[in-house]
Amino acid sequence: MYVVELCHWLQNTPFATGLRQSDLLFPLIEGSHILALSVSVGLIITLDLRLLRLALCGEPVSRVMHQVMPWALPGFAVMFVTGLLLFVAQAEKVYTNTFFRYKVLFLVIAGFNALYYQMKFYPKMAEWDLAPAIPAGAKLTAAISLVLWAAIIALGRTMAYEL
Amino acid sequence: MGDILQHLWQLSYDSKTVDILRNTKYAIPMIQSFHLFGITLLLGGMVILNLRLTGFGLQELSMNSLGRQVWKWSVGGLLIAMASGTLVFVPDPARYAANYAFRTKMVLLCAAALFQFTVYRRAIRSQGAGARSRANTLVGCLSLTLWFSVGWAGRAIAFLG
Amino acid sequence: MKRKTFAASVLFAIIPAFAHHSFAMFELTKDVTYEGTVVDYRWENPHTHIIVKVESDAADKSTVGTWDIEGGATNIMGRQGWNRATFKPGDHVKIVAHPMKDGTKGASLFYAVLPDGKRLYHDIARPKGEGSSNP
Repeated sequence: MYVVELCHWLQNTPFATGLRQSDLLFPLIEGSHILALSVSVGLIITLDLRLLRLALCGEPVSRVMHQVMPWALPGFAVMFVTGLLLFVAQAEKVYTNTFFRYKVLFLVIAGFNALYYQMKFYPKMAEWDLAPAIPAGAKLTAAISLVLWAAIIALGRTMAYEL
Repeated sequence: MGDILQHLWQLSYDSKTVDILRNTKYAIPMIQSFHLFGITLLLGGMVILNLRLTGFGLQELSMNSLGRQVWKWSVGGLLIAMASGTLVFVPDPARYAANYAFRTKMVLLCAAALFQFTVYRRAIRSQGAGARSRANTLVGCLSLTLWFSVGWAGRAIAFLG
Repeated sequence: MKRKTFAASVLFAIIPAFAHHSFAMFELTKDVTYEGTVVDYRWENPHTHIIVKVESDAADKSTVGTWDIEGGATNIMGRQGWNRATFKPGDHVKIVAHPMKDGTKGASLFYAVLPDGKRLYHDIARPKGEGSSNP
């Protein structure tokens, strides 16, 4: 299988090997990946909870989004970069890991879920800013987001338990 | 004291309930996942609260609402983290107790929680909360430093020992 | 709190049954001695690995084969006296480890015995039932 061979090659490049064998750099990158959850997923939770009218109901939805997103986007960038580095360092081992595959799948679905919200609900968001009822579709994307991120986190953790 | 603790750890390690935990297929990774959920809620909440407290970000959101509601999530996250953390500790207490990073984490956790429920709580409810000031900046930075240090110490358990 | 419970139950429902390992994957109360030749010595994070081949003339027949013995992170092993050159392919080695419960040829490192008799442990803790810190 070509992809497995590519991953094997990637994992054995001097860069990847150096990363894997580094005493401090690898732990720093992995630690950053985990702790940056707070500035990515942790911030998105605010938005999801607002859409589900579970928190910050006094704040207009569009305001919550515009205030939080500028901080969440760099957070996701950190997650992506650290995640990529972690992948490169262990490419073959991780590519063949079942939990990792599902994690990536769910990440892609989460991305599409966010895109769907952007296209379908974002343009009209201000209309239900302080409305007592939020469109069912918007609420659904929020619920899906919460479930997906919980699953992604759990899958990431469980990756280590498949030798 | 050391002997008593060793005995306690062995009791925990040997207990039947703990054995079930250890032998249930995905119990340990699931518990650790909840630990991560708790941490995400706690640290995420702290980032939001401190951005607002220091007046550095999220200025258009009400300090009052954030102070009350996000505070609750953070405390909820902390409780989830502590409950799940206990369940991670209990099946292998001697190993964790001997780990320097773990001990450091526990000390930092106490410091962070103490700060959180005294000085910090007062700061976010005070009149001046949300405005840029030296006091708010100090409190905000201390809060973030303490909580993220607990996080890093937790990571160090597996990497530094 | 409800969201988390919902999320967790969804997660349990979708984890495929064929994903076969958990933290309880090692038989932690069993100390097995693997004596053979180093096939590979991987000094890396998150875990170091020593691949050991035990020949068919071994005293303990259950150890015959090629085993993946997993150690700790480089820092942790380093504290116990390991380094990137402790072993190399071709070296003779004697390792005590906890085997996988499901029978696959993997084990969790307890300690290695050097030619001079010195023990190199995996980690700082020596829980009771796993031998004391006295060599």
